[in-house]
Amino acid sequence: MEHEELIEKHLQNKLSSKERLEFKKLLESNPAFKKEVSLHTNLKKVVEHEDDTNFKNLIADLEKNTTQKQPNYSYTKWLIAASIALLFGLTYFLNTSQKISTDQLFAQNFEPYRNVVAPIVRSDNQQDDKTRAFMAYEKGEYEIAISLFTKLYSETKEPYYLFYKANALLKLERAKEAIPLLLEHLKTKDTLTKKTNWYLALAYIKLKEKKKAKELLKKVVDDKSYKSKEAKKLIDKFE
Amino acid sequence: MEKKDIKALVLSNPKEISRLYYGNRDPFLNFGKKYGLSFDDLSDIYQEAFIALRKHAISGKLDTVNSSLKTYLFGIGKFMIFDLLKEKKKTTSYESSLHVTDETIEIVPFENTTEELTIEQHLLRTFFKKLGKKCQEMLTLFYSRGLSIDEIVEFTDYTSNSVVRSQKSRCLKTLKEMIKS
Repeated sequence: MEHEELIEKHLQNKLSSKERLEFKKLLESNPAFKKEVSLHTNLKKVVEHEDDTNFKNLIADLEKNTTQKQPNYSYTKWLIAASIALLFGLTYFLNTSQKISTDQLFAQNFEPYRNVVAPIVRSDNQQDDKTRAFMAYEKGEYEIAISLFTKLYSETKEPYYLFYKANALLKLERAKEAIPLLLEHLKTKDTLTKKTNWYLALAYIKLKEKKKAKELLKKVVDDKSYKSKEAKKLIDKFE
Repeated sequence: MEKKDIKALVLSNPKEISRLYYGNRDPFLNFGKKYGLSFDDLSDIYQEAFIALRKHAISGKLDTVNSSLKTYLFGIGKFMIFDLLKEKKKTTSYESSLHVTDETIEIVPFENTTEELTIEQHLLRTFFKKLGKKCQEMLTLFYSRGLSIDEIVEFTDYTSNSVVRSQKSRCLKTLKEMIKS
């Protein structure tokens, strides 16, 4: 039998037992044949893969159309308009109510971590940037603190500046900017790193990314250290 | 199962597929409701089940099946429904829904096996997509749908066995040239 036909039958599972033997023999003895078989086998996989993807897309398109398939046009138009209005109303309502709840959760749980790096002594004459930064932080002048922390971090690369800057940002409800700093801080290992997950979780709560927040809170609980009780309570509120 | 339904699935002509898909969709969603799953879950399952049904058609499994397309499709769907219920078991009580009786629908197990392509196959795929539409169609009928040369003649506009053969080998030749270059 011709090689091509043999491969063809092999691909479609139609070899007789006699042909299967011949196929096997050729595969062992003839490298060119082996190469050819491998090409066809690969091609089969590829074409099947492509065909599956196309079919899945076709089905997805059909499914999409089901929402638009309405029988009676003249009044369904109104119906559609009404449902859209309702939908908007509902999404607005749901969003705002959700916003309140995550915002509330954030507000109830967040407070900037206290200054443990540079305890401020009132009589301290040494008004260096570091002292000024933490003084601003303690006084609640977060904008000033943030710019000083930024400067100090670029100069010293001390990881705790990341942590405090993130805290200040969170206080100013700039969670989006705080997240990259906290993630960066997590990569370092200072005494504060253990606390970072908690603040990162709160940042995600602020951004309504509940799933990410929950994962982090679980970590906090598992660590059994800083804020693990609060984290557990928060998780329960999510359920 | 009726030959023409199997054929429609294998050939996957969009018009025929659309008829079969929409024809069974509402009944399935109705059927699935009693298991307490949401509309979204059920329409996801319906899509998956329909895709699985076509796979069974192509692999030749349906040729020996006695039940109708609808019953078989529902059987796959039911399998998937139970699968999902098991997954959700931790959060909801699914025991109760297992007692829903519908002896008419026999479960059809379905294994989801999607293999990732190797690097070599990815490359081959880019070549395949560069082929003309006719060639892609021809190779799809042969390699993916598992049609024999004779069946291709029967189901398509190709007039004879030899035309199909020469077209197929031309396509393969083009593909091999792309690989070489």
